[in-house]
Amino acid sequence: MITDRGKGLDVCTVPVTNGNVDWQSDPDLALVSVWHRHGRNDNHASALIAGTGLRTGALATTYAHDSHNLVVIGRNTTDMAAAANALRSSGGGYVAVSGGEVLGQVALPVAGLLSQSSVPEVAGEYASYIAAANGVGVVENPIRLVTSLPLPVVPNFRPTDLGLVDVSRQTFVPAFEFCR
Amino acid sequence: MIEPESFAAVVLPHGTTTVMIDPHEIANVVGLRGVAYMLEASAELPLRVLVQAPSCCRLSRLVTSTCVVQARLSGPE
Repeated sequence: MITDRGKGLDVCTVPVTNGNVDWQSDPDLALVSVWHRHGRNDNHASALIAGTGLRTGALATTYAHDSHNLVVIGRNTTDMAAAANALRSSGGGYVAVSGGEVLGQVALPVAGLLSQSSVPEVAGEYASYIAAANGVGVVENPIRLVTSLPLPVVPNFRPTDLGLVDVSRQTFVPAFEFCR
Repeated sequence: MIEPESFAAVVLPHGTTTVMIDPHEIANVVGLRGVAYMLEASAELPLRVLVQAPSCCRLSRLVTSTCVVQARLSGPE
């Protein structure tokens, strides 16, 4: 799994239950899923990430350097889908979801990058996202967590829509390997 | 994260009258249309906005982005 917000990579063993990788049994793990969103293709890839602090729900953004694909980090896939769909509705931005409910969000409808509101209004939206992210356990800069994680030109292990990138080797590494 | 007009409204009162911007974020999403948008959205502002060619577009072969900016470098044969 990814550690230290993309700076490290470590190995963990998680059980497979009824054909599903049961990563949720480890409270330190979250799933990060990156989806291409500009209409070039339907690419998406997922990996596990440890140490985000996220306890429940999901965070998502379309402001994710530098390709600005859709990045979703979650403790369950239902909330991850709800977060992604909330961003589809708003045209992009940031969102924090738990129990299927949007707890805080920033709308960035211009290319999923820019707000059409004034600075004081945008600041209020960011405050709502940060408070909501803090509430689900991400206390350390929840903007940077989702926005910087997928940048595949900074050290060391970064998730993109094509897979998990080993930046220094400029290649992909397996996000999951099966063992008996 | 805000449109050029909103940006101008908050920086001009502090004395910033000229900015140089790199539109590589929006160029990675919508290509040259994004650069055209930044030029158009900045054209009539009381803030002078100098728009450079996007610096990292395409960013990497290890991610999908929408980027059409290519430079033709000239140099010694």
